[in-house]
Amino acid sequence: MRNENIVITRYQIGLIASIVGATGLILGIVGFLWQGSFTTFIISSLIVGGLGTALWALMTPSEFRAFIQGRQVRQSISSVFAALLLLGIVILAYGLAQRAVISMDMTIDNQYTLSDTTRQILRRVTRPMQITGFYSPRGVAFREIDDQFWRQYEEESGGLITRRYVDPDVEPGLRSQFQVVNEGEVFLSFVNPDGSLDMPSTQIVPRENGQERDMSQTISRMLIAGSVTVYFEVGHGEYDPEDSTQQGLSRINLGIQQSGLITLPLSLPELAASGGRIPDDASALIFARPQTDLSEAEVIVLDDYLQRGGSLFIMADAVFVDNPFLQENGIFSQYLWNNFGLRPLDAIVVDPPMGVRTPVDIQSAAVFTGNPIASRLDSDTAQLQFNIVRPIQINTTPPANTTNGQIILSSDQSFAERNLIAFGQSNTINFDDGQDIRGPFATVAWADNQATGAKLLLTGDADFATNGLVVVGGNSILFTDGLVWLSGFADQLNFGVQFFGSTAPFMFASGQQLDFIAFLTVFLIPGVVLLSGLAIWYRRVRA
Amino acid sequence: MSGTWYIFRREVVQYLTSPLAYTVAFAILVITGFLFVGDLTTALTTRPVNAAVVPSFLAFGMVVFAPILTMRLLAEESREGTLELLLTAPISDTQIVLGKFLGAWFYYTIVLMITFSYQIILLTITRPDLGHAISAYLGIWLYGGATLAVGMIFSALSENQIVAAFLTFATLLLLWFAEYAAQIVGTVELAQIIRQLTLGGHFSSSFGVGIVRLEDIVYYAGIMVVALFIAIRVVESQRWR
Repeated sequence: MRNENIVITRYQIGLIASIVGATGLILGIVGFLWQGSFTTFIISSLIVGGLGTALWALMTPSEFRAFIQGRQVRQSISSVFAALLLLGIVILAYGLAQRAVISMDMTIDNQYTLSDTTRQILRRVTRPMQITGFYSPRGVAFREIDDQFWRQYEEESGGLITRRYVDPDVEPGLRSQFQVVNEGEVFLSFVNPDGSLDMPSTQIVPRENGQERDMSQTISRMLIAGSVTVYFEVGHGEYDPEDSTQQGLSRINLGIQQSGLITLPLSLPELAASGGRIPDDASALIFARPQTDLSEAEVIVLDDYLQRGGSLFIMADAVFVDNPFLQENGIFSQYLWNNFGLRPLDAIVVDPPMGVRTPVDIQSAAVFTGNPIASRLDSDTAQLQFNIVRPIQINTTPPANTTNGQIILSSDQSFAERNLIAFGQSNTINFDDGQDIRGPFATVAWADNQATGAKLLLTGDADFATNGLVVVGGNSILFTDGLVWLSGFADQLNFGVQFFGSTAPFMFASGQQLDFIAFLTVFLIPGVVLLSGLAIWYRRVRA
Repeated sequence: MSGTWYIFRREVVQYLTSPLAYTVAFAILVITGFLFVGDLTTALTTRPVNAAVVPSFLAFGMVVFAPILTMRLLAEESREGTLELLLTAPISDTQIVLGKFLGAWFYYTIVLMITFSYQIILLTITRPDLGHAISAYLGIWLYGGATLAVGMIFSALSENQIVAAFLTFATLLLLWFAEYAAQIVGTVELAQIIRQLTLGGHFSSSFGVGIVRLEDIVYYAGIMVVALFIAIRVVESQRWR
């Protein structure tokens, strides 16, 4: 076995000491800059750095002198300072660019630019509002995307809407005050004159349909809260707005209330009996499948309301009782015909091609989308579904000052079954020449009077708005957009999705087209590149 | 300028005659081709096509590809001793570094333009969101430039191409993962600062979604300027080391 002496030179000790010294000094200085005070760690690092440097100077004094005085150090220091200076200039330029907030929305449908609808809503903001967003460090990326919208609201509202971000972990008091449950929840509140938040006014901004629509709808709700009242007629056995069963209207009722509108019951028979009138604040009066027809006194009350510019949403339906609602020869039917040129017939629409389960549970065959009520009712994606619907007759030469029109039509192959007794008793449907009528028929129609401002929306079915059917196809759109039109607050009520649709089209391609694209992008283009590389490699090898 | 142009031309010729460059381009095109077709198939009849699918992949892809593209630029010259010849030629250090960087960036631009042809192909069957696509490609072009500039530093620092590539990869990976690291720090302010420093943070929520922001352009341009300046000083240090 051979003994080997381990020799440690002064140079090696100096080298190690210089590394230890430099590391200690860097850690100490960076630590001080980071924390702003001398902690035990920082003092220890500086001491170790100092001792290391001293040992380096002691062990290899000539190297140490060369480092301090040498050309390398001068050049290195000048390079480091120049780099730091350049870095500072870049950071300054970045900071200025960040403050300038200059950006360009390149998307085809301006997804990141406030729409005209939002701008209209923001023009109505007169009281300061605050957007309060709760984001922890985990949600900092979401906060950045959201902020691109929220800061536009701040700019567009002229500073009336401000934004504040809160870390729920750092401010648990605010978190509990706003009852924050999830990361990234955003709230909107009015601000009091003293700068505090009007907490009772606070509403959560739902996260359902994209930042802009969710925020704009919340602002719209807060602006309109309590100023629009819609009445449900309840004196003729109508569907109940509070009923949460399949035949109830609770979903629609809740949707209206969540949009900031007030819904109240109103009994027309009681008003007529007491000589009362429909309140002036009634933006619309809804008849949801009344069973029995109106009396003359009730029609007089309604006429008084319509003369004051009132709006009626009548969902007539086929009912199999004595004195049914809006019977063809009834006084109310005559009133509507004389004043608006519309009336439902005593019949039901049978439409075999459009039948869902039976020829009387039918889908819409055609929609007149030029009308504001139907502009969102795309016949492909938002088809309506009715359950036993009455045809509506439209007078093509309406009374003076009145305009009317159809919105939904049945198909060419539909017919109107006039024998309601047979249908009501035994579900019998037969086309009888001379009695039944060939289609197509209007199943939803509208009318308005320019002189009085009165509006009428008449549907031959009421089931489409019930809890069981309102979620199907475009049923909810017909109801909400109809109500928006009737209430006259089309520019303020935005509980529909009509203004924020994406215009980027979906893609439709045949299998052959897809195969060709796959061949082109996965095989041909890379293949040509690879072959070019191989050719070059071959030429090199041969050369 | 003529010096920069001379070096740039030399680099472009080297890329166009290098089997490695074609292999890298082939790899990028195969992967992006698969991603594009995959997105097309899932989007069929259900949603508009994602215009940023290729650039979004390249945001991570450049962490791998940038080291491969830059590792030889200066390290090879240094190892083979040709850098000393270049330094004695009537060309400044700035022109050398700038010319080589522009050559690499040009090569990257060509590959990007080939992938942009996917959007043109789309025009035959639908109306793609070209604005979104242009935004995403502009972003990834600048992003790529920044990653290549970072690669230039390590190529200048090391004679060994593998070491240069590894150090570039590690740095870019750090800049990439810092975006996720930002999510686990203690305060939102610190998380935001870290996110502002990351490469992905300036792409994913702006260029990637169709928004061109001045601050992001300044960020990538700044990274390029600072990284190239450091690379120039490192090359310059050969004269006095």
